[in-house]
Amino acid sequence: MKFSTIIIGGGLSGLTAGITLAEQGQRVAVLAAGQSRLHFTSGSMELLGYNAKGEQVDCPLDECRSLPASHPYQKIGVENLASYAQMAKKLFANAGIEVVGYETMNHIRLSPIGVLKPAWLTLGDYITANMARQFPFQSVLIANIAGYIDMPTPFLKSAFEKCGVKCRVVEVKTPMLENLRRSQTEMRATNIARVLSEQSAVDQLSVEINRSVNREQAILIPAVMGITDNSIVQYLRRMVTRPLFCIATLPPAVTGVRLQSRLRKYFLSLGGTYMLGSTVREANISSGKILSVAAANLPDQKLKANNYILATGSFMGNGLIATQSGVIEPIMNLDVDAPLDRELWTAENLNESQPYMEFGVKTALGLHPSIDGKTITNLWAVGAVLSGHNPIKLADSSGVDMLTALHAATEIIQTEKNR
Amino acid sequence: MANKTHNFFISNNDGNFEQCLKCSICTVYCPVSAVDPLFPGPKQAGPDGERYRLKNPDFYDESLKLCLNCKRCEVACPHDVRIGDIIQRARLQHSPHKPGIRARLLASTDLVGRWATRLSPAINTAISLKSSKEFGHQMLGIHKHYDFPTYARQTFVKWFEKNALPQQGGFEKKVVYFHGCHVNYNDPAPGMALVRVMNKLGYGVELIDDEKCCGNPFMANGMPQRALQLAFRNMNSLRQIANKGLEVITTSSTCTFTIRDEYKFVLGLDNADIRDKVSLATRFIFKKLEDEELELPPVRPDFKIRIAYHTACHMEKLGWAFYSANLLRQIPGVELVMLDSLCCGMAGTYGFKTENFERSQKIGQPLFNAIKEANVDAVVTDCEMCHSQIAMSTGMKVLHPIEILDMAFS
Repeated sequence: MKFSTIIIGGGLSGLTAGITLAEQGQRVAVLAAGQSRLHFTSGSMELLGYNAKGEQVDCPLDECRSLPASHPYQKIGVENLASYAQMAKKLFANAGIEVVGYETMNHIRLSPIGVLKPAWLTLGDYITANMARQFPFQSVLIANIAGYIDMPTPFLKSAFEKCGVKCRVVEVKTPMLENLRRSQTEMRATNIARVLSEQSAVDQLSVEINRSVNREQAILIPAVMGITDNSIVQYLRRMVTRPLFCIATLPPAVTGVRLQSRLRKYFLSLGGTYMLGSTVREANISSGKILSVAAANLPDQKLKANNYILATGSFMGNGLIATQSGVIEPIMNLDVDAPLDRELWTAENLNESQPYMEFGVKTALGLHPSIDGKTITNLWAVGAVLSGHNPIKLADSSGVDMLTALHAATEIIQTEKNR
Repeated sequence: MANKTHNFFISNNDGNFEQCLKCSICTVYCPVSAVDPLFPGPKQAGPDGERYRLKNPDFYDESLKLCLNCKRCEVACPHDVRIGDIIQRARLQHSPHKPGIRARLLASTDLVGRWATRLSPAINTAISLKSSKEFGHQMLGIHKHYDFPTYARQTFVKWFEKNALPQQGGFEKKVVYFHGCHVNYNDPAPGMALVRVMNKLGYGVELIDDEKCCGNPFMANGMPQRALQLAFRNMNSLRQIANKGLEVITTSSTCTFTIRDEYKFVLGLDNADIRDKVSLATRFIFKKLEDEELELPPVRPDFKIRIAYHTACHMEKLGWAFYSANLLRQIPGVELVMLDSLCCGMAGTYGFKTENFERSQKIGQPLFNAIKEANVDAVVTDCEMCHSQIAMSTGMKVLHPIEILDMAFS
């Protein structure tokens, strides 16, 4: 099978690159070993939330200039970040995903356990505050679903009150949701979303919410609706008597599943090939170029392309593997930035920033990885597999995922034009 | 013959469940969890429960029998945990229930098929009667609303011997066809189409002398020892064929998946030498076209059909829907709508059972809706049981990809 570009990895980074290339008419295949980290996305995306000193960042684009040269943003050129950020927003719009936010000014998102954090983009359904931690309402009602435990309401109530927002918590019950409660362990956001995909179930819910609301200015519910798109959330919004917004929940996150499925659908609609369950095990490399890759479930099948993108993620997606003799990139054994001495992998204090978070594939100029110091010229590494950034410390994970993918896609489009 | 020393209960316990990161992504894609809160879900039923069952088998929970063995949890898993296999093995190992008449009847596709084809059409009339459906419902637990597959008047093998065998010697290139029970006893059409298509492509077709049921229905109905016997017989045949340098092609995605993966991961057999010798016919043809070893024969000029391709669960697990869909796309006159990959709810013999019928229909509903909205002439799928479920639940015509090729080339 021959493609213009083969992308290894089907999460946010892989799909961002895949969509961008397919929009330009390229023949693209995405090979995904399994589902991705997007399933944990709590409705927001981050470009740069904190600087190296751990201080909150207001204007991420400005702050990116002071990142060290090893950071992926520096490798793709900080001067390019603004246009890539615009492209990312346009990509979401094209895929039918409504987001709010600006790369020039962060806003505040509410984490599932009530921590206020800077964010770049947030799905339109969610409640957000400005950087001065002002919410658009003085009083809110949190209507949780009885039996749903992945949203700790006392923490959220206290978070709102600290910001001067009056907050009352109620639990709502409907017959259709009570049926789900028969199995407490399965009372997950995504299972609730299946029940709340039917209008009749949402009608019942809206009656209960309207009954509970007093003089609050807005209603907040856990993000447990809209697994394929947000039309059912819009429907509930029309049925209730106050503005209604969602609050992020613990994973698996309904909106994460929605993001994954919408991006994949959009990619497929552009003619892309998405092969789920195809774990790439090896690459045929000769004189600094990949000739083909092979997937475990496709024996005797050479998968060939002009260009390749590695978007396999970090340790969770097996993009990196920690072995007793060192950290490796398992498909091609690419050069990695990670010391051999295991003592240096972790910091003793668990709460300190952990060195292993910055481990990843080493890239020279741009995003080309190497093997034994020899650059692979038709391979680009993008997203979490890259070294030099700490997504927890800097809150930069979605930005690195998307902007590096857009950089690689832009370079590939240029390469193909020159061909 | 069955190897007396093989004990699948102790084989292959490689601690794969330890790979689970508890990320819960599998629970999002479980078709059973989506409709039935009483199923504990793949994470709990699989790797989490396994930890307890290893300590004490009393932790085995009968709700595991609600699992369809669709393997969609495994496809979703980012860490290669064989969740479906863990559940399937736990059921075979710990279920306190001995298989009853219904289980034996549903599992014995070969034995029942042999007799039923001899007695067809009397059997077909009998199984379609309201009174016998009521009897089956009450006495056997086979749901009365289900249209049980009818039996062919003549087995595929008989048809082949009478109508196709004499011509097969005239081809230089040869391929061996594993037809499976459903083609042989219930619906020979895909098998007949396969012979015609392969002949058109320049291949003579041979059958396997001692082809046995792949064993999947026995695994699903709690009879692992019988499945083992069949697996040994089939592996023996496949080895002999491989030694002759011939390739084996199939039309059933589940038989293929069973021989390739369930023999190894559920029964604990070493099938490494034959695993890659068995391939779906669509994959075989696609690859030969790609390698330019074959050319498509001319297509009837008036051929025009709009079809929806349904990815059966075991096709999703194999990751081979690409081959069937892209082979069909190469046929002039074919307009293909790719349906979202969703479970139809049938899962072999699961949907027949009285206690599962309603759940099975609920699971399939999103797929049935998508099919109705697709506005196509026919639905195409590689799985015979999806075929039966979709035809019954949507009233649509359902065909095998090879039947589309046959229509196009004739």
